[in-house]
Amino acid sequence: MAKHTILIVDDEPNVISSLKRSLIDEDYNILSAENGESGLMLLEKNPVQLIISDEKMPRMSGAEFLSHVKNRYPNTIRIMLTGQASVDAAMRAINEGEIFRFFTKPWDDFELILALRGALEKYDLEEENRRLLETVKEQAVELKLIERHYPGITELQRDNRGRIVVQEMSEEELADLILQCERKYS
Amino acid sequence: MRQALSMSDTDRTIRYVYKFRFNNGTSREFHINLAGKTLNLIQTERKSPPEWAELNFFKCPNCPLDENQHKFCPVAVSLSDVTDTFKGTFSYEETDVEIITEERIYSKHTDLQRGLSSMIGILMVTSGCPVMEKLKPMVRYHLPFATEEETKYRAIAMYLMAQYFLSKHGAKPDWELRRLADIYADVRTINKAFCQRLSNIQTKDAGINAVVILDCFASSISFSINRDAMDEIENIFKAYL
Repeated sequence: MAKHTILIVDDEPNVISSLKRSLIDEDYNILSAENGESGLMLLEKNPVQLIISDEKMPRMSGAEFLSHVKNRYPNTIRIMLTGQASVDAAMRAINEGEIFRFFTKPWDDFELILALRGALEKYDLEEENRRLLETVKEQAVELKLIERHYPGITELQRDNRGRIVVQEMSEEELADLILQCERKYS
Repeated sequence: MRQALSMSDTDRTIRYVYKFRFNNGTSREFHINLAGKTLNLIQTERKSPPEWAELNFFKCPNCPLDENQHKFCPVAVSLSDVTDTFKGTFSYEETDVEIITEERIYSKHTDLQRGLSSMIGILMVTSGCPVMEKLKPMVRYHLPFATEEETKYRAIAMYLMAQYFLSKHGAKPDWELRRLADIYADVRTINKAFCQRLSNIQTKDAGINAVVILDCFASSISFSINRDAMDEIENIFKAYL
């Protein structure tokens, strides 16, 4: 099963087919929608890591769609693919949707593939950072709880040369401490 | 008698009329006339081409034309009227398209980019661009609103017929479709460069996205040849296999 899911949103089915062909050798699960509303519905049901959206679409523009995505799924990487590469459109997309890259049609397959790989590597790294941050936060809470029961236990004592001083603890005291921790956090 | 019939058939002008009717009540009409023998576009009287049609304005990297002999890009000249007409229109605007040929009438309610791509395809190929010229036989048997699969079939069938004629003339035919892949790689370079040309003039996206659709078809043909992925076409030839 593919690790990453990509959503393509474009009102032109030929563009969707062509993009799928461009990415056929990449290990992605690819979803597609022909307008922003359908794209948002797919996002409600599927975890998606990266979105490629057209800009000029009926009813909901690409910038508007990506802006909704930014608000609801801020971690998703957003890429805009457009025929009309005006500075205004690019600025609006960047300001409203905080997009990662802006591609013009017809796109270069190789350039697109490399950009997607880079974007998903970035996503994975950020995801790992978020996971590690969460772990650190959980551990900080645990330390606070331990500190509450054993005031001063988490404080590091250093000697006059900056070396950490480990307090002597009898084997019984240590076993008691481990037992209490296990009871509390198992 | 037979020769006379054949002569009159090739001498006649091939005509296409494209009519676009929009939801706001406006309509546009284009007449495309092609010389029967050469399939060259018969240019109508018009004011001098716009600056953006000059050959050296975002010239295609594979363009074989010399700027000293050709001031203007033939594709840009052919498309300048259409580009001017739709420069303020978005690709997704709905339209009723009617295409009138001498033999039949095609009609479809679609968006502008799809309607335009059908017309722009004819204009690009018949403009006199030496790269696009290889697709001329497809224009003679133009199929408006063709799907990706239909276009693939027509392109490959055209190319194989060209190989038959090559063989008849004593040359070595290319049954592996290698040269067709090269032709479409060149066509895609033209499509990309032409979109760059259009994006550097003040237009909305209808014209560019029409070329993008043509490029998607070209990409589909290249993909099928390069991957030898023609199962869906091969399946309909069971009676021969």
